[in-house]
Amino acid sequence: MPKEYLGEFEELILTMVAALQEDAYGAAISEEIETRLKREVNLSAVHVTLYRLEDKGYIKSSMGGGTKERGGRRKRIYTVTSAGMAMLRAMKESRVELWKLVPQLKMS
Amino acid sequence: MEVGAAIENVINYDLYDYSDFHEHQNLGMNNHEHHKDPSHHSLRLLKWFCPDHLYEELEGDLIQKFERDVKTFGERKAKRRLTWNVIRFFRPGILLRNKFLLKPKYSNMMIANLHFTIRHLMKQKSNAFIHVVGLAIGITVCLLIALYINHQVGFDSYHKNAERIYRVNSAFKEGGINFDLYATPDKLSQSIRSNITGVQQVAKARALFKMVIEVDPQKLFKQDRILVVEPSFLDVFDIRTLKGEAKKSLGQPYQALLSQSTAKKFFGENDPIGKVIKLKSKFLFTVAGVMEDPLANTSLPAEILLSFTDDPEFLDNGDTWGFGDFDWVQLQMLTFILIEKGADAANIQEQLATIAEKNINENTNLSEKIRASFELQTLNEIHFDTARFGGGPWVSAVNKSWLLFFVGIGAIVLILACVNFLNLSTAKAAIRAKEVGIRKSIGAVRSQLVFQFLIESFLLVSVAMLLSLIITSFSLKAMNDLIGQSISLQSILSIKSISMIICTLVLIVLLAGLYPALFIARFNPITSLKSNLLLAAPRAGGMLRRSLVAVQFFISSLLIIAVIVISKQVEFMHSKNLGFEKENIITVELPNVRMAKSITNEFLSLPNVKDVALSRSSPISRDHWFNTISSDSTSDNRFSVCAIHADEKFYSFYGLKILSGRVPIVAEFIPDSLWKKEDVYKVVVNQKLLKQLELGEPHEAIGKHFWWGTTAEIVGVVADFNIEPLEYEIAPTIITQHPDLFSQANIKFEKGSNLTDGLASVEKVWKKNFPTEVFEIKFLDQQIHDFYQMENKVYVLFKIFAVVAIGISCLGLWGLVAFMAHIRVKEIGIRKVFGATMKSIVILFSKDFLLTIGIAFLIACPIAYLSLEKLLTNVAYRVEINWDVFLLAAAVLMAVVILLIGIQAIRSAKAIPINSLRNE
Repeated sequence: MPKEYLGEFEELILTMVAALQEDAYGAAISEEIETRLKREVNLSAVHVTLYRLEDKGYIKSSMGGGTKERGGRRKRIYTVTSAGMAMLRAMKESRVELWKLVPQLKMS
Repeated sequence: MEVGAAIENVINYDLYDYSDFHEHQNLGMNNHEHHKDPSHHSLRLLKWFCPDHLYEELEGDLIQKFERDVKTFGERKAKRRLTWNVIRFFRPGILLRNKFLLKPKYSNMMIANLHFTIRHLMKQKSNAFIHVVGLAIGITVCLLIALYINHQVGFDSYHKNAERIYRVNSAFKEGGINFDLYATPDKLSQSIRSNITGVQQVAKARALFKMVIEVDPQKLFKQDRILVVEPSFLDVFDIRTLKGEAKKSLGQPYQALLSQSTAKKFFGENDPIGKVIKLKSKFLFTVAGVMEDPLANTSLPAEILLSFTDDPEFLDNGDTWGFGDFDWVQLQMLTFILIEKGADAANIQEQLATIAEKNINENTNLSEKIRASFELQTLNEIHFDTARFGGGPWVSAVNKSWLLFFVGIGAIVLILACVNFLNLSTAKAAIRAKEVGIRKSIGAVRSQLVFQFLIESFLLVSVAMLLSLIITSFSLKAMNDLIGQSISLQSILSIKSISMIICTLVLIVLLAGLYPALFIARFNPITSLKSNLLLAAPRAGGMLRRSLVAVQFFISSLLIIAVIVISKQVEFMHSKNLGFEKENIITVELPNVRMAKSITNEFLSLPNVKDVALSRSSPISRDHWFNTISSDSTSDNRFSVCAIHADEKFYSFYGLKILSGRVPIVAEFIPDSLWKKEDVYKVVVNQKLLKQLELGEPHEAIGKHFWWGTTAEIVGVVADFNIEPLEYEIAPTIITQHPDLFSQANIKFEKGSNLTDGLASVEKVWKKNFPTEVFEIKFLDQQIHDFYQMENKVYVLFKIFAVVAIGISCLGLWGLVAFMAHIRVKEIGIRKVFGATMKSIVILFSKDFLLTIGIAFLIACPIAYLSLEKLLTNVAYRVEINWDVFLLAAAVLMAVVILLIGIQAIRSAKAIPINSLRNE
């Protein structure tokens, strides 16, 4: 895989974008992280990371519809590009590879 | 403002909309929609810094988050969290997504324009040179003037409480005569301290002049700028001490603070603290501290601060104004007050009036005719107050109208330079016509062209500005020497002046560049490409150009006439017969009047000395004493007279003409101690005084009496002579004997004798008699010359500025004529082929310009005459403005103009026609 490297938070966000599919936008991602991982994230951090991922070409965005829930403002919906998908997969595989090297604790 | 309000509206509307919706959703539930409005201020903040293309989604997400927070944390906390979330968006990852930079297309165009400009300028080097140099000189003059005015206006403003510091002035009225003085009675400061509310600090100070200070017996200094002050003086004014405890020491008697340079002068590199200096050869002061040298722009440049002592003899410096013989009318102190924050100066002035009323006007010892009051004057007015004997003891005040005069000169020079710029640019337009045509036909719009030409002007003006900054930094020292100031270039480096410079830059660009830019960009592409605009275009702006040349030479003519008249006036002031002799005369001070007689005899025995006379002052002086007289003791009709005290030799010594009667002799002088009521003063008076008292012809006046505090009898009449600098009329004058006041020896040398030897022998005698004093010599003619120092300086400055202004006009004319010669080269070629003579071509060339300039000169003459007449009306002794002035001015102007035009005309007339006609 390329020398590109993703930070932990970047990876998390990228995974969330892939997971949420049509519903991947800033507020939803941060809500999802908060509820699932019980991890407090800052909205601005999520957005900045999304932009950075977009700059790197792992995700692309388009403007979606607005809901009344957000005062009629439109959402920016993100989708993972094939490069992003490849990146995710590569990272997962390298994790699995590395995991295999860790001596597993055995019950004697 | 409007945009902000609009955004707010949108947000409010949207939020309202949204909460409205919420209300419907929660219908029936406990509705809290009026709380629902998230703090939109924070969203407005977001709008301000967030890139536009990201704003909508961010706002949406924030609202969504807010909505969730309301549910989990409740209303108030949610709002706080929203604000906090918005603030967290203020980070580089968001901010840097703003598009700050110009679009690349745009900056490419700028670079291309810059290229064109530079290429164009290189093609016409002389033209560009005239542009830049003319402007640079103009801007330099303006900068110098601005620095000067900044210096003058900023006097004393560096004290941190400057706007709350006031000087108390005395105003005495006697009959119809006003005496406005900055000297106040000694007791005033104490009285202010105990009686007046609203005053934070009071400081009295006593200025001492020209005092001999003995550092050690071999080192004597004649020191000026000594101020005896109360410790509170340091609370009122900002004076930085470098060594020692200033305030504490000034509270004790016989302590001194020296300025850094004075300390160095006295003690060299040694530590001055604790050293003792001797003043007036008996008062010992201990140096208690060193303070910073006084700044250049202060009205009180004290080099030595002394503490008050209780010995009145120390303070007696012979310069007290007395209106009677009790404390409150003996004026010698400077009184400064620092009023409290928010205190009303008018109210304090009223309280001061009460003090004057109670202590002076109600005092029965004072003549009914004398009325006194005290007035407040702000610190920044002092430097421009010419009425009260100038700005302070050592710095003379500056007349504000001089500043205005210089502002006017600066504006004129700048306008002339801009006119040059304008003229040459429009003239040049013809050459650019084809360029404009081509640019337009390939799609340039007018605004782009205007912009391009403005950029061109901007470039030229910027170069000129830089050049002028360089010239200014070099010429500043020369100007400082000339006007005796120490203005530093540093004051240019303040934010205020830099922004001023930038404003001026933009102003000049618009003033000089906008019209040509609009003019050039207006060309119709078809005509400019088809026909030869080289011939057509100059005519288009011809009328404007001609009138601008007329304006330039109108101003130049005014300046030439003014310079001629003013130089005549200055010449006249220096050469006028003052009514007494002034050649080969020196004056020396006699520190001890009791030795006057014996030292006079010693002087007389010196080989080169022709004559010696004793007096209090020279016949012409700025520090004559003035008194009031009237025809008798009961008369209310008093007027002011000058009193000169001199011995019987004074008259023949200075060649004063005695018209009738005789000179009073020493024996007739009655000392104050022997004065009896029926005694009369024997005096000599001048013709002016006779006229004022209506005593008739000189021979009729002898033996008549008038009232001068006591009865005075006229024993002689002297012909009028100038007692003051020539801007003043000769005042009515009394000359009388008073040996107690003869503190000056007037010494006349033999004509053609060796002056150096003479001076050396005089000094030797003087030093023998006064070993503890500092010898100082004054040449009478030099003293008279020095009266007009200010006038001389202003005259020199004016001359320089006028020459610069005229030079700029000529530069412009030169450029214009050169340009004309350039574009008419073919026409002249054809004319020559058809047999035109050189003379006819020169005439063809000069006719228009000469006519224009001639008319400008004719208009300038009457205006110059009227304004100069007005300027000179206040001068008592002045030259008349005759027709020869105008003739001379015309000759100068024509010589310059004909030289400028002639060179070019002859050059083009001599050109061989084939060269100009050959190439197409």
